[in-house]
Amino acid sequence: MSRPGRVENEPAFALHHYPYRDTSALVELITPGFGRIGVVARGARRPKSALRVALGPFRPLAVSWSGRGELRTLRHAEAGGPPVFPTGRRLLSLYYMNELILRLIARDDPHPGIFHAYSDALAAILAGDSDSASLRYFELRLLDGLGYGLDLSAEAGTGRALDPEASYRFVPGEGLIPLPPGAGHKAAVRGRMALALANGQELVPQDLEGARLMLRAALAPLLGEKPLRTRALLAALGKKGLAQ
Amino acid sequence: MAFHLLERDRDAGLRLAASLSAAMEGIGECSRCRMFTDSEICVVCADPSRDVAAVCIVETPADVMAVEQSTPYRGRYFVLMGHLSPLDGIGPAELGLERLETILGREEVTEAILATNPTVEGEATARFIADVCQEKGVRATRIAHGVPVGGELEFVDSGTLAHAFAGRQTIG
Repeated sequence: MSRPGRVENEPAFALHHYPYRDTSALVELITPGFGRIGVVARGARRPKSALRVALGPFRPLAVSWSGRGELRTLRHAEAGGPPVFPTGRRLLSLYYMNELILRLIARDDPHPGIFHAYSDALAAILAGDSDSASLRYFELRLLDGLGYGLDLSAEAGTGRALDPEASYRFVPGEGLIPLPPGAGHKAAVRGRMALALANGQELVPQDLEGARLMLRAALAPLLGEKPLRTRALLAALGKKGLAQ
Repeated sequence: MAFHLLERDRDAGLRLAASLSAAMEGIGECSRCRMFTDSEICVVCADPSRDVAAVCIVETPADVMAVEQSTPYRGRYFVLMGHLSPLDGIGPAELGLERLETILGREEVTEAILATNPTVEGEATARFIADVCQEKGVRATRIAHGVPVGGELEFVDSGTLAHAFAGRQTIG
């Protein structure tokens, strides 16, 4: 049996890293069994360091570390595939997921469901699927994992099944409240869209914006006042027309 | 080092203190390329014998020194002072890309050499600047990544080897 505090070959993704001392780095990892953890990768910024792979985001890793407490010591890291170099909008979408995890998941709080949601969304986005739809399903599973899952198949309060043809208003913490027929509401949620999300079906392009706004509203109370940096950057790049 | 200077060489300590203090107070950024300099324009930008058709874009001032010392490159530079890093709040504004756009927009510039690091962030920065270059009608080139000179394939990491294969060149 291994020594306590020693973990071998845990699957992981690197979310972010900060330079530490002359040649080391602090790396934030997400793992299925241990949640988000911080590790010190000694000498990882040296060109020939074997731990260097742990600095590359968006790549499946197998990592071994020792130690307990806030920061562990990374002992070994291996990448399960070639390095990836996503660009433009796709890259920002991936960083957006990393930022959500860094902001919403506390260290040492295992959420295997969120790890798999991240891994699935990452693979889909890198494979060229719609980044918008992949992000919505990631956000949904993230909320679920954090215990703030949305009920998108029934009306809030009454529990009646959603009508695909009707429109609803989304209230964070409550759910979907029916809107009177014909009432114009700028953030109205179409029943069809909510049901598609609830059943994990493909979203039609005209529903992507509505789904984005609804999940943004659902995440807002958890994120608090501080704006997301990736969202601000995406807005800035979008203005220049360069975030394609 | 502090003990050594206090015990044996206080004069050198004072000289070191004076030059550090002069550097901290007197050195700023070149108003054209953002390289460290003690005047308005750095020596490279001020040199009339430099090729104005090329601009080499690097992440740090240390990268400028590295390129200067080891390549025959005789064009100008632009120092980003970092790379795109959304999670640290570093975007185009922090990298001085507006100033770079003005430089690329000038008629004499025909080539932008993207010499950012071969990391996810460096690659993203290069691609982003390449888009700006395309808009301005400037040819963007990326430095090659591959097997180190004198190295052996067997010991090269898989990512580098994959890059080296993708960037292979016709010989003879």
